[in-house]
Amino acid sequence: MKFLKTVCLLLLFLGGVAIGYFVKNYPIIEFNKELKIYEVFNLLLTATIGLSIPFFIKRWIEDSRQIKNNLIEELKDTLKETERIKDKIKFCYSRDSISQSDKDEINYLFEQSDSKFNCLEELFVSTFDAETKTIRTEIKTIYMAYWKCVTGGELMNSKFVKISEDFFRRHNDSFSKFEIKIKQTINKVHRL
Amino acid sequence: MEIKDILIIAKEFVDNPGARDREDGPNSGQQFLEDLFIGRFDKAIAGNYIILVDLTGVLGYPSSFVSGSFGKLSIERGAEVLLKHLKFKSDNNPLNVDKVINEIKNPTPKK
Repeated sequence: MKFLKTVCLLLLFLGGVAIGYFVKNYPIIEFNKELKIYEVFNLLLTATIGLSIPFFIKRWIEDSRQIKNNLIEELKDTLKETERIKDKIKFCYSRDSISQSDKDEINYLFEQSDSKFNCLEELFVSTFDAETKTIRTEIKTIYMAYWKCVTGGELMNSKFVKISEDFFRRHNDSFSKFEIKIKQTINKVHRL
Repeated sequence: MEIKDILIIAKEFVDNPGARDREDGPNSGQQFLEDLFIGRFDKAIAGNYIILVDLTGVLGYPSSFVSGSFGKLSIERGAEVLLKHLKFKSDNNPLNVDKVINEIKNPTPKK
């Protein structure tokens, strides 16, 4: 490998010498002797910047857009996962009964929803950690409030065998707050 | 302080915790607190060590259970003592740790 490098360097040096020799003795391009060296550099620099900026900026914009799209997808998935809890409660409300296995399922659905929430948190931290600190705290607070609203009161009581009007209304209010927060966050991610 | 005791809720209690108080139903927070946890917690205070509470493997923690166990103890003994002698872990769901710590810091009073 070291030998190969030495050979390459030697070939480059010889190539440079050969080009210098040919340009001096057999000039194809006539150089204007009045041309200043900094003017040449200026031209080369302008050309480099002109060509590279659109390339790098376009790439940076595309990368950033892709990251934001992933975040938005994850936000939508988190909402979808939490909607399963809402659907379950709605189903029990319309059936006019809730069993212990329904309650266990609701707790399990929260566990699933938590997993999605953890993914979302990790994605936020790995992409826009500092920019999204407040947003993350706000979503978490509202999500925790929803969890407390559903599983913190009468739901787990064994005498609670049907979803009351009051519970259903409180649940819907709490879910709406969470849904609105997720949708607001999607808009904020677009503007990041 | 070092960890000298590990309490795995899914193995030593149940994997489907229930309501807040005994009268509310089986596997309650009160049952967990009084039958399993408080004795070990007192030992940890006396021996000046930490209990690692492993929240892994449970099918989901209802807020009422967390409130009836850790929340109730926090109201009785103060959040500072609990946070000094308890450490929590949840391999599959770190949010469970946040839920418990949040309840210890801001315990829900019994309605």
